[in-house]
Amino acid sequence: MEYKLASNTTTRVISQEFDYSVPASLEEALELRDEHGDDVRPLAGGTDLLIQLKADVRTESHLMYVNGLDELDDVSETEEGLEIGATVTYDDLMNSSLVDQHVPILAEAASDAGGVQVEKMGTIGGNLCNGSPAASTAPPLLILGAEVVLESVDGERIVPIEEFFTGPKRTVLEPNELLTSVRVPTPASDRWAHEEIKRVTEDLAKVIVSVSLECDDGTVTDCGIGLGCVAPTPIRATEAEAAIRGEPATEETFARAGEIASDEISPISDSRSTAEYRRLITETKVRDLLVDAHETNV
Amino acid sequence: MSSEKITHGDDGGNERTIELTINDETHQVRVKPNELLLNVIRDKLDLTGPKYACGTGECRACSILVDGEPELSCLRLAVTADGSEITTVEGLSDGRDLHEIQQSYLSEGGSQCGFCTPGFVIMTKDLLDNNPDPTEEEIRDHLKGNICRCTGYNNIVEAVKVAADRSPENGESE
Repeated sequence: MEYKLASNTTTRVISQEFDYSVPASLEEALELRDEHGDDVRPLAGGTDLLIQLKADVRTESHLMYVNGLDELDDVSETEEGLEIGATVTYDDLMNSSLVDQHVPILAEAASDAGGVQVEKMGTIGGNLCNGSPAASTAPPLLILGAEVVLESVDGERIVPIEEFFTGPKRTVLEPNELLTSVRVPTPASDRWAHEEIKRVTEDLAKVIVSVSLECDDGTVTDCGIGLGCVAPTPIRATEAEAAIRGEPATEETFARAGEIASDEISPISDSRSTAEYRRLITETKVRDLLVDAHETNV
Repeated sequence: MSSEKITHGDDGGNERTIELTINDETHQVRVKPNELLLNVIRDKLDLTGPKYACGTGECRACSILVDGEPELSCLRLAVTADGSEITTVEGLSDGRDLHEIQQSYLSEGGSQCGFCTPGFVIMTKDLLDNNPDPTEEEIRDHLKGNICRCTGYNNIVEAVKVAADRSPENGESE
């Protein structure tokens, strides 16, 4: 696989040719990855991948379809929280009673992914492996402290989601690995808020903000601020988080978090928004969502 | 699903035969891995209801039901639909007798230039199959991804309301 500038502007067909396999099991899929490395790439919902293939911004020689693999499509309860299979769709997340019970912020984020058809097609594993700074599920997973399970024929390794993204369209996934599931611990606090700022529903976001808050006797004891579309990868606003821990849970404190978050991001201007707007809306939304999270009845 | 590694044949292609059941008719079709489900349905099976417009998942004119779920046929490889049951807008009418959803789009003026209509009708079928008596908010939410560039949204919403009233579940079907 390689990325280059769009050289093909038609979206009617995919002009590049590639091979195609349907592995019968996860084991077989991992063997294919072991044998061919990045010359064979997983295809799940296809809502990002096919657009990139049409535009020839990405070239693939061999796709393997992983959406039928039983090993990857479950949401299950663990001691710490949930284990969510890579091909679980946005629609599954929105309708899972386990997700609603343990991590409702993830169902909320999935409902922002882009309309009914994309919710039925797109998967959490595809959303993360696509490596977009605008990945809808990334900001909530960052503040939840989620981990991804990366499997190969040699075994599995567990990577904190904070270390998974390395740049636009880049992740730490090795050529012989598959992302098989996402482990999400149940948060200690029910105080959270989430918003994708965008023009219309099927747009990619201008900015994504996810926040969580723990308070004790009017003091912020812990907080999480996850942001999308404001840096080369989805990020946590760690400086803003650190600045308000131990501070009184007031609108003034939350406004301070917004100001610091706005300073620590590195947004760009593109077709969806400007760097200046992204800084301003980040400042405002971090403040407002922390206020919302604080006012949640828990 | 069986495991299969495609090898290039002597003709330099890697065509394979897939089976698609479309509107209750089963077809065997030869396709290459890079062929889009939309193009196979339109060009090889002559069902031109689903439309190509944006090609990037933003307009939803290519919407079809795959195994009962609404999907975008321009963002799905045909090979991945092997063995699937598909419904296009052509599958709704009974010969020349229009489905009550199609009747409602006609009576309420829910279609202007008509290009987006197959996608809207399919999404309306999906909505009413799962929620026979939706609120206006639920209608607008379900159709939120589909774009009508004639901007005839209010009449479309009216058409869905009328179709819901006429549906057998609500006891007003003739």
